[in-house]
Amino acid sequence: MLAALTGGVGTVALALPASADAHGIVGKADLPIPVWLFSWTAAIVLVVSFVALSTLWRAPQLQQEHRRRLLQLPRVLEWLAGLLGLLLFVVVLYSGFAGAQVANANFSVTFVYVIFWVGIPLASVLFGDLFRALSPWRTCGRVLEALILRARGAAGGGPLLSYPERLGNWPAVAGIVGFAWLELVYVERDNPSTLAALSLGYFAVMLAGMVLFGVEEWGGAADAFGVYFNLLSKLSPLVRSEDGALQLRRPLSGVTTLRIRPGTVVLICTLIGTTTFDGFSNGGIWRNNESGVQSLFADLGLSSTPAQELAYSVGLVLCILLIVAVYRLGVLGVGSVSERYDTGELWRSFAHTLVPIAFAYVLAHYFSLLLWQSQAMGYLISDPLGDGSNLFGTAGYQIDYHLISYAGIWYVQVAALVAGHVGGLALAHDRALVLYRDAEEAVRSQYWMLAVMVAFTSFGLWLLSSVGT
Amino acid sequence: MAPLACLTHWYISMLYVVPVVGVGGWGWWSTKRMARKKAAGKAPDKKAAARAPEQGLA
Repeated sequence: MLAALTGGVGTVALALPASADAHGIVGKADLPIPVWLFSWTAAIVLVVSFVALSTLWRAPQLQQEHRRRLLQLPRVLEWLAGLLGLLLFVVVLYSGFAGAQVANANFSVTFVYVIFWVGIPLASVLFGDLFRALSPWRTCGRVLEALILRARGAAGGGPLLSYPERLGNWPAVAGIVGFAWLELVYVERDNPSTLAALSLGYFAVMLAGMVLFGVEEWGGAADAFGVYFNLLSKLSPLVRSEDGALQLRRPLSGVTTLRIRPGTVVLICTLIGTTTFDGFSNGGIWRNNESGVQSLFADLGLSSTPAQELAYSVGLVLCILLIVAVYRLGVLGVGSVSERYDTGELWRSFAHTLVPIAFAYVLAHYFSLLLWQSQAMGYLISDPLGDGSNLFGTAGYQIDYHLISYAGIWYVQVAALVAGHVGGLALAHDRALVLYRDAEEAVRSQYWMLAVMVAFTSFGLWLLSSVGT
Repeated sequence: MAPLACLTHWYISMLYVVPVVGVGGWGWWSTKRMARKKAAGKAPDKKAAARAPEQGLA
């Protein structure tokens, strides 16, 4: 996928492996110190942050949002955003089915894998839950729900079925794993018509769920993308209230209000795990051993394509389980300090601390992809079908790969990982102050979380540095 | 050269593990030390208890 996307129409091809371009290009950067020393430096920053938190942060600061009203947003803006989202969705479907079946010349592929999957998470962290307004299935779901309510009239409102609480966020987990499988494993992932068909299928399932269980209930629990983008938007200092007012809140305070349902913790670990596999599968260890795993399945009678997909599927699942295991280890360590809470309570209480790490991994791994490939929209909006049209006169636009140096990209990646993990540390420390009797006990409980944060940081930097080796 | 490159790659990869082991080890040692201090603080001071009857404190 990445090789096709970074080709571009009419652009000068770089003499570099495309997959490396899209993730980490450290080997080509002119850095002042060895790459592995960055991980030592990052660890020192985390330890210093931990000491500062222990000394200076003696009472919880993030458990309340302390919102301040900024301005009133007109309600019509939400409907306009919904129409825009619906229009873009229609363009994805139309270009996918009717356009050229070439990944880098078709609007749908770049829009789904770059603008939607990477751009919206970044926009959510910066500006709040934009997708809530842009979501095409939520827009259609609200219209359908209103029509059904009107049809039922005096018979009463409320959804047709009650969403089972035990189901929680597990459908969203399945959705995220499914999309990651499509993006990282499926050999036909670049096929525009396949992407369009799957998008239409997802839309239909979401609509059905919203009609049966209610727009808010289904959207808040089972819509994989809605839940994911909403999760990241809790990191944003900007939030829209129920009455449509734009409000400012204390940074990171939004994520402490995260509702932990069945599957929520696994969802957050899945987000980190899928990004982990994206980086790992482009590194030397996977490349050297992937053929061996593939031949294991081939010996069972599978042909080469299913064997390859199964090998990659195993890798994807193992990466998710690895993240779950590391977090579990951290929670066990926290629990060893005091018998006040059992592992299950701590597992849920500290889950929100992984959200900044999930975003850090996304930003670090996909920054260069977003920076470069989002520019492709410049020519794709004028020629969405790849048939030579020039709707807005920008069909000749070319991607500028020299927007930022390779060293600059590496520094952004390191800064993202360090900032995300410092954020996670702050959230964990703040929560520990709530849970434990005194500040000393809270600090003691966080030694293991500090080790977990350092592990995630070092692992993230190792993944970025090993791309293309 | 291939085995050397492989060894170099593994060596550099292990360098990434050093901070994790360092911080994790420090955290483990600190936790053990505090647990020992806590246990020592809770254990009865036998010498003081032995002196108490002589001084009429028991």
